[in-house]
Amino acid sequence: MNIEKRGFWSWFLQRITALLLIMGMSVHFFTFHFSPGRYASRYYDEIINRFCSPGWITFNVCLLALVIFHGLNGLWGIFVDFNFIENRKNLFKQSLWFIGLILFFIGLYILIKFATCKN
Amino acid sequence: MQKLKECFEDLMKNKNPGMFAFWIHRVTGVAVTIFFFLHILTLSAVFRGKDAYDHAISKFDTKTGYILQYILLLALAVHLLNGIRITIADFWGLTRIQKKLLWMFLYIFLIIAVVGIFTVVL
Repeated sequence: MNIEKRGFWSWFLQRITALLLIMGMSVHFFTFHFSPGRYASRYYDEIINRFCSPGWITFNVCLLALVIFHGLNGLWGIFVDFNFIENRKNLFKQSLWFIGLILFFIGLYILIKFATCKN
Repeated sequence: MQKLKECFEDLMKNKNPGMFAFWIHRVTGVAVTIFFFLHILTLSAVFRGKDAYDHAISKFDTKTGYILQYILLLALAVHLLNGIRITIADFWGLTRIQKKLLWMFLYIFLIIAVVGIFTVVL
């Protein structure tokens, strides 16, 4: 990606979030897709019993923020790189921030909902 | 838009592994971002209660669901491995060995793809 066009921080944070996501996504994928208990682990009761400790909630909030930033910053990089609608750059950037924040708060609300549910 | 067209024409002219890696990285990146929106939508079923959530999740516990999860695994693996290659080349200035890294990561990808058949699909 073109650093001059997208800015240093956008480029740098994309790399940093990528490195953190390697660890985070590995844990997420192993727990819900690879481990022997992967089928049960996705269901409500199991999530309430196993994944609602403060540690897991913190992990998931961090993972949520990282995924949203990395995904939307990646879209921004592609947009800038391919010169899509040059004069609408700022509007696109602000839209991505808006979508990202909305998505983050929905995700956060889902996690709070799980954390506050009683089995 | 013109740049996108030029890049695509470039890929057609120079069918080298680096160009394919560049395109695959972007396509999988966009695909996984779109999937993430759907993932949040599925999980939001929790707002309608336990039964609605379990019902939404049970849709992925089908043969088609497992195949879709396998495709997701492949997309994530290819994006992740190529991302590591780009980061290594960017941060440590190892652009000279980036082609070797590409082939090395392709082998790792194949291992993940094979293991994934047993752990995700079957």
